Amino acid sequence: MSLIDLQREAVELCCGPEPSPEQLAALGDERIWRLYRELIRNRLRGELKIALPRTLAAAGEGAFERAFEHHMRSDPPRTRFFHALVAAFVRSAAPIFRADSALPPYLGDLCVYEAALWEVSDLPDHGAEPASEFSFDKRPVLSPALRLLALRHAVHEQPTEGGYRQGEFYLCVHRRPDDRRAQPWSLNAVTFALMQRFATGAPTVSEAVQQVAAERAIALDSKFVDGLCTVLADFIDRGIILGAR
Amino acid sequence: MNARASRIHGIGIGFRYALSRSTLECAVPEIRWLEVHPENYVQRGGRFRQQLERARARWPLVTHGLTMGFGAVEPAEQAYVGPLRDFLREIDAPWHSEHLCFSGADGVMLHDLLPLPFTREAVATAVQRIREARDRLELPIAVENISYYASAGRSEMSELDFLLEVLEGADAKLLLDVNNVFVNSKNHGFDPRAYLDRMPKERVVQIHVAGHHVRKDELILDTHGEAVRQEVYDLLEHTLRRLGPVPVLLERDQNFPPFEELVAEVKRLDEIYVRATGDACP
Repeated sequence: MSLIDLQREAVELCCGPEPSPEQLAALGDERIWRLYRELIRNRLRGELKIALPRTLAAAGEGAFERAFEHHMRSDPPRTRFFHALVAAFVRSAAPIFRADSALPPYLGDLCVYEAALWEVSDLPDHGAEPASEFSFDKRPVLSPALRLLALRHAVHEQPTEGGYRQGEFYLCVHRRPDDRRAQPWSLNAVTFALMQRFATGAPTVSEAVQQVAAERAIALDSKFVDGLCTVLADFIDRGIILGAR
Repeated sequence: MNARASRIHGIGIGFRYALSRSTLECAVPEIRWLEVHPENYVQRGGRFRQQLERARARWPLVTHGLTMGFGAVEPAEQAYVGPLRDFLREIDAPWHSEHLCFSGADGVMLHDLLPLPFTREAVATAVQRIREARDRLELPIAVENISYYASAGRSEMSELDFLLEVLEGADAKLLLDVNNVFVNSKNHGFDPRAYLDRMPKERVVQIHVAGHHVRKDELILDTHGEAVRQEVYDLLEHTLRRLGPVPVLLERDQNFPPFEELVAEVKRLDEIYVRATGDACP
């Protein structure tokens, strides 16, 4: 067996369905290669359980394991950063959770939210591009340590007896440079749309505001502008907007 | 070797996040350097970066990679190697080490160290990957011997000869893991001292010691989650008496005990180091 074929067999053994004795024997000692599969999957699964405790509790071991199986078979880890395994798993698991009517309806949102908290806690505070002073005529520079989420369940709040509030919820999950953990910050639909424009890195602040206002038929009157300036000042104070370029 | 290497001597410990606070607050002169996994810090901010900066202020650092196994059929992607090189420069690393293993294929990463077949093809592949790493990272490269629980595919040579051919072919340095030699000697039935005596003195830049787990079926797993065993201490002393003052790292990656227990292990390693090498590490 060539080197690449052996390595592909090992990947299939670890990521695919329960291997056959023939599959194991092709690599060598069946007992040991089954052990390698177990060790690798346990380590990956263990990281996910540490990062997504609320998701695990809400899904139950069975559904969580099925999502893990699906992830390993259809879209196995391709990141060399162990801490980034969680985001990769959730990209695969969230649609599965949402599609399963036997599971809590908020589960897809919950795993996306937990994954964002996990990921943002360790993202860099500054990007490669330096930021100069904020200006409406320039493109805003955002902190890399944030994720924007549009959810249908208020999984960032404490649940009630009936579960989580349903509706449209817009979150900026962000970590200030001096904080250890990421926190959610609730936005309204307009502010969220503006942040999404900022995150593309393309328009200037003025252009982004005009685009969002036009899409939503919002008049750019003094009341709107005053509110906008308050929001932008808050973004800057929180370290969400670092400046402009 | 470069001038930075002269700062790495005596005993070091792995800088793990779970131990970071205790490490940073300790006053243990026997801890003379730290080892970090660059995958935990490259393109990462927040608490990990903060702890790294505090560690750098007190100790010189060496890097030990987890995912650029030299048995990979494809070279590592530039999207990682570029930032890795920048990180190595930033922390003034004297060398960079990775394992003689493979960790996946076709872009899939299994996050483990799988054994290579002991074949001419695998030697050629590893030699090429090591040379590429040295050129791209612009640093000496040290190769670590891994523990393996079974050989992969069909072997054309022994694991010892495989390792030696790779080191010679790539003109690479060696990160000699003494615990891995012990684990393999028990799992595969060979004399660990005879193995260690074949290690090329001039290539060994660093030594690892760690604990291991003995299963009920007597298979030994390289877990880095237990105290170092007496047999490994004995092999370390044997090795240091032969090699001279090579820096020794205590690896503990899980199942962390009270920090005082790790300190006790460090002090014991330091006693062995001084006794075996005569290097009092002023």
